[in-house]
Parts: sequence; structure tokens; C-alpha cells
Amino acid sequence: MSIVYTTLEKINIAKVSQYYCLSAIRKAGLFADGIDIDLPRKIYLVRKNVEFMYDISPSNSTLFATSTFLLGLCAPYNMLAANTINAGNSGTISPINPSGVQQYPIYITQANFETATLYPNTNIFGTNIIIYYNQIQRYLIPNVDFEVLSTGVNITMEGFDASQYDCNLVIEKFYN
Amino acid sequence: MPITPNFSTSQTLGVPESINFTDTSTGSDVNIVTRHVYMQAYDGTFLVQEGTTTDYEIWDYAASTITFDVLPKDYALLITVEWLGVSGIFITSKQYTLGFTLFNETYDYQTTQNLAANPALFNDNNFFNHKSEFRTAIDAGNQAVEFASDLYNAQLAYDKATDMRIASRYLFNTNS
Repeated sequence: MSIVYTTLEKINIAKVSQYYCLSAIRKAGLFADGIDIDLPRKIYLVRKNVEFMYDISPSNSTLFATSTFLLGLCAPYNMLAANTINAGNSGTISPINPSGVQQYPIYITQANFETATLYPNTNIFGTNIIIYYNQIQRYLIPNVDFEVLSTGVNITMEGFDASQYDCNLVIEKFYN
Repeated sequence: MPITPNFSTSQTLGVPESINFTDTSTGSDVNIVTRHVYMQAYDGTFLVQEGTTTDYEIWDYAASTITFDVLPKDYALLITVEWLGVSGIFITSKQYTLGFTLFNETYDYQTTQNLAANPALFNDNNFFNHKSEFRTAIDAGNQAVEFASDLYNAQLAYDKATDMRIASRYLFNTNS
């Protein structure tokens, strides 16, 4: 995955990188641990130029080259700086829940039932589940109190009627 | 609503000798028919366009923007805009101390373009030191204007940068 920064992000990264670089030099040992002691000043000089051009002509064709040079000058502090200012968000991937993959536990109420006994959910079939029935304070017994169908979960416990009575069930997945 | 006088200035990339004026006043006054623009340097002289015989430039009230070609180099200026009625009767005015640095900023940006094309230039101590000194002069002028409205010292700093720009072929070895 590549991260493409905007010119403005590069300018802001340079501002922060300058101080990270200065801090690294201050904390370094003999000969600044090999860090170019002029680097913070170099970053500043170039950043001011890029900032000037961005302010007066943001779509200037030369900005790509100069701002990329600026970003290169900020290494190795640019990634830390980018993280600090949360730049490059266009390159991140937000976690998604793939369709068809059921998340557990499932909390269901009377409103979730399609019929008096059927909770419709085609993603449960083939999965080992247990169901806790809050109104009677116990787990339902598989294949006695409920059954898992391709269309969903059917509560077979005698007297259960979601169309008549409120219910609170928790379906959990278990492994064996 | 009575007029609250105000104006802003800008410069256009590639036209460093010009200053663009925009009237940002709010409210109105039916008696206003024209404006006069005074651009005074640190030594008391007024910058005017070629052919102008007065100390000021005329800015017709019907035009919300106007451009004056007055700068031979970077200048710190005390700019006064007067809003006038018939027969030049004074109605109101607004004054700012401003720095106009497009000549030197544009040159400084060019040195960064040279750097982007040839990064090894930064290892040339003369190039780096002179670029740093050049930037310091521009920054010093800007700060004298912004923090102290100090035309004299601002102009000294801008002139230092201008001298370096004029002698740039001796100071910035862009071929190394």
C-alpha cells in the first residue's frame, strides 16, 4: 500500500519533522550520532519555500517535485511526524464486517422473530451455538428446546410464542 | 449601515512588481466617490506608478479591486487608503504596515527547485549557508513588519536579501 500525501500534508509533516529531528540531535551522543546537525535548518528552509508557493499558487506544477524533495529531506522523521499529525488517512483501510460472516453473541428480542418461533438468520446454519433464554434463566437444550435450520433458529420449547410474549435471548457460538 | 473601511493586498506569482488591492469594507456611504492609495517607504518617499505626479494613486470607487505597478524590489510599506467624497472631502481611511517580498521569495523558491533537481547542492556549504542567510533576511524583514511595524529595519533586511539575490551567481553555485 502506498501513501500519497497532499502538498499541505507534506508541509505539515515537515513542520513536525523539523522538531523531531532537533529533538533527536539534542538527545544524541557524540557527533549527534551521525545526524546532520544542519538538517532541521535545511527542512525549515525548504519548507518555507514550498509553503510560499503553495500559498500563492496551490496548483503550481513545480510543487510536486519540490514538496517530494521536502518529504525526502524529512526522513527518517517523516513517518513519525505523519503519524503525529494523522496524515495520509487516504491510505488506511477501515475494518469492515464481511457479509455472510456472523458476529457473536447475537442479542435478540421479540421484535427479531419472523413467526412465533423462528428467528430468521441464514448465517447461523452449520455453526455450533448455545442459546440463553433470559426469561427462564437457563440455556436452551439443543435439538430439544431449539433447532438450527437453514433459514434460522427455530425455538421448539413447549409454550414459547414470540408473537405473544416478550423474550430476550442470547445466541453464542461455541467450539468443540 | 455606516462604512467600516478595510482593504487587503496580495501579489501575483510572476508579477512581483505589482500590488493587488481589494476593498473589503463593509457598509456603505453614498458620499464616497473615489479612493486615494498612499504607499510610503521607510524614508518617507511615496511609491507611485510611472507617470503619476501625485504622492498617491487613484482607485475609483466603482472598482472593488485594482493593481498598481510600483515595486522595483521588495519593500516594506506603510499603506494608507483614503475614502473620499466630492472635491476630495475626506470621509474615512485605513492604514496597514505590510511587506511585499515576491521578488526574493520567488528567487528563494528557485533555489529549492535547483535543490530538488540536484540534492547534492545542500552539501555545498556555500550554497546552504547563503540560502540560510537569504531566508533569515526575508524572515527578519517580515517579523519587523508583523511584530513592530518597523519599516526601517524591515527594509534593511529586505535590502540585504535583495543584494544577495542580485549577486546570486556569486553566492549560489547551482552547477555543483
